Amino acid sequence: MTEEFTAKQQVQKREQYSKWINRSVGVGVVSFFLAMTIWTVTKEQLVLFTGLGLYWLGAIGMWIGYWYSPVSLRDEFEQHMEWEASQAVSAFIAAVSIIGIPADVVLSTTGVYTAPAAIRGALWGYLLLVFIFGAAHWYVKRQYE
Amino acid sequence: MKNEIDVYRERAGLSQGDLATAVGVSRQTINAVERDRYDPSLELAFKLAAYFDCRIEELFDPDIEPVGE
Repeated sequence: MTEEFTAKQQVQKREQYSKWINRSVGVGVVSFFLAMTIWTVTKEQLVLFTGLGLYWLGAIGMWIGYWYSPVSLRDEFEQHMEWEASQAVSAFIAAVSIIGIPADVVLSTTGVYTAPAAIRGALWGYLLLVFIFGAAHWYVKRQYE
Repeated sequence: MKNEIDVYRERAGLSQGDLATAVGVSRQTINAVERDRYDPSLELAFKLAAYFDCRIEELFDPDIEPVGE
C-alpha cells in the first residue's frame, strides 16, 4: 500500500485491478444465474450450491482485488460522487426512520393500522442502519482525534 | 472554483485523457474540474500546478474574500 507509483502507473494499476475485480464479480454473478437456470430444469440441489459457491468465490475475488490493490481503485472525483450518493441514501434512511417509526408505533399500538410485516421490517431495519451509521461515525471520528 | 485548466491543457496540446493520465486521475475528473463542477483536492491541485510548471493561484481562482486584518 505504501509503494510509490507514477501517475501513469497509478492509472494503469487502477484499470488493471478494476478489470480483475469486474471479471471476478461478473463470473460469480453469471455462474449464479446459470446455476439457477440449470436448476429449473434439473432440480438438482448440487447445481444451486455450486452456483452459490462460485458466486461467493467471485465476491472473495472482488475483496482480494480491493484489499491487495496498491492504489485506490477510485480516483478522488469518483470517491466524491460516492460520498454524495451516500449522503442522499443516508438522508432518505434518516427521513423514513424519523417519520415512519413513531407513526408505526402509534398506529399499531392504538390498533388504527398495522403496516404489513415487510414494511415494518424495513422501517426497523432502517433504524438499525442509523445505529450502525452512528457507530461507524464514532469510530471514524476517533481516528482523527 | 473557477480555473484555467482547459487553457493550460489546450496550450500544451493535450486531451483531457492525456492530462488525466499524467496526473493519475480519470478523464471524468479532469472534465468535472474544467467545468467547475468539482473542486479538486489539494494534492491534485498541486499535481496540476507541478505538471504545468506554474503556481496553484495561476490555475485556480478561489473567488473568496481576503482573510486577515
